[in-house]
Parts: sequence; C-alpha cells; structure tokens
Amino acid sequence: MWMQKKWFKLLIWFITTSFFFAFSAILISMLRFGPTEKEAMDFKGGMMKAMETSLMGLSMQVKEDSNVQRLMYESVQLVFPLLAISIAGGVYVRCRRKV
Amino acid sequence: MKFDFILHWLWALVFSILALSGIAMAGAKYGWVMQYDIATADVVHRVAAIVYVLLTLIVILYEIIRILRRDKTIKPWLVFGPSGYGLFTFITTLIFIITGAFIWLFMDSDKAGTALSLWIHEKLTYLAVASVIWHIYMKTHALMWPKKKMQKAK
Repeated sequence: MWMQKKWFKLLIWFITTSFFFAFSAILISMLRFGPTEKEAMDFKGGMMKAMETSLMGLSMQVKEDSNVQRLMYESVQLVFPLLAISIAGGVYVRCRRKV
Repeated sequence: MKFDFILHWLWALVFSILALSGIAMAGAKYGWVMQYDIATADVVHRVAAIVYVLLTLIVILYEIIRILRRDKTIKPWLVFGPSGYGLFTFITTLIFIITGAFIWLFMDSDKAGTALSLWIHEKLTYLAVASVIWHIYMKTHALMWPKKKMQKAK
C-alpha cells in the first residue's frame, strides 16, 4: 500500500507542513505591526520588477509587438485545420484497431 | 497507484504552491514570505494556476465519465464531492478560478472588477488555508509513521 511507504509519508509530511507554514505566515503578517517604509518600498520595487520580467510584463510586450501579433494570428489560423486533421487521424486509428 | 489518490496529492501540492506564492503578493506586510521577489512569485503563481485549472478539468471529466459509466464505487481520495469538504473544495475552486481569471485578463481594462476579484481571491485564500489545516487535523491518521513491525510483516 502506497500510504505505508516511507518516501510517500515523507512527501505528505512535507506537503502538510507547508500548509502550516502558509497559515502561520498569514497570521504573523496580519497581526504584526507595519509595514515599515522599507517593506513598502521593497514591495513596490518587487511589483515594478514583476511588470518587466514576469508573465504580466511579457503579455504587455506581446500587446505592443506587431510581429508577435501577426505570428499569433497566423498560428490561430492553423489551429482548426490541425485540430480537424488530428481528430480524423485519431478516429481512423481507433477504428482500425482490433481490440 | 489509484488515480484519485494521485490527483488528491497533486492537488495538495499545487494548492500549497499557489497559497505560498499568492500570500507573498497580498501586500507589503506579506512580501517577506518570498523575500519581496514579486516577479518570481507572480510567475510561479500563474504557472501553478494553469496546472490548478487543468487538474480541475481532469477531476470534473473523471466524474462525468464515472456518471456515464454508472460507476458507483466510493472514491475516498477524490478532491470534489457532493457534500462536506468535497463540496466546499469544489465551490472555492470555482470561485478561485473565476476571480483569478478575471484578475489575469482584465487587470488593465477593468480596475473596479479587478479590485473586487482581488479582495475575494485574497480573503478566500485565508479561509481555504484555514480549512486545509482543519482537514489535516481530521485526517491526521494519514501522517502516522509506519511502525517497524508492520513493515516487516508486509
């Protein structure tokens, strides 16, 4: 039984402990004083960096780049024929299979 | 290994990642959780959110297949259920996905809607994490370390 395996026990101990960490982090953050000016600035800095480097920033770049937009438009055009071909292929393979 | 068992623990892992990365973005008071590295928290949160949505679709499809096949076997590890904690998880999951998608898609265009979605998303996180602690407490038997005698017998 998987539940009795030691490696698996270790994994679920790890996962459940992480929830206790999350819960403690919420309580500590809620109940403590602050934020201090430095923390507020750090948070703002982190947000600014996120705008540039994360998926949020990437999606904004995509909106502005006409080449990427054209590429995406052409990719979308190809999706439905490819989908139809793959469904037809799948049905053909399924029908040909004996078992 | 049973499919519902794998889904359950995969679900727990993804939810934990989502909770920790989400808390870090909740405000200046919470940023210390990920050393104020909001960029990493944002990427981790979005990638985990995609896996979360996919897992939701898989669980719903699995249930539909079970209904169509008239499969009435009890699946104790399944994440969603018609009552109790399974129902709570299902409702909170849908609210998380709807508000999360709204924040992702309309952050630039609908400020009021995004603010409301963020508020719901954040407060629901606190409720969901607290409920997970309760869920762990109710299922603590899963955390019992196997005794040597039992292992030898097996």
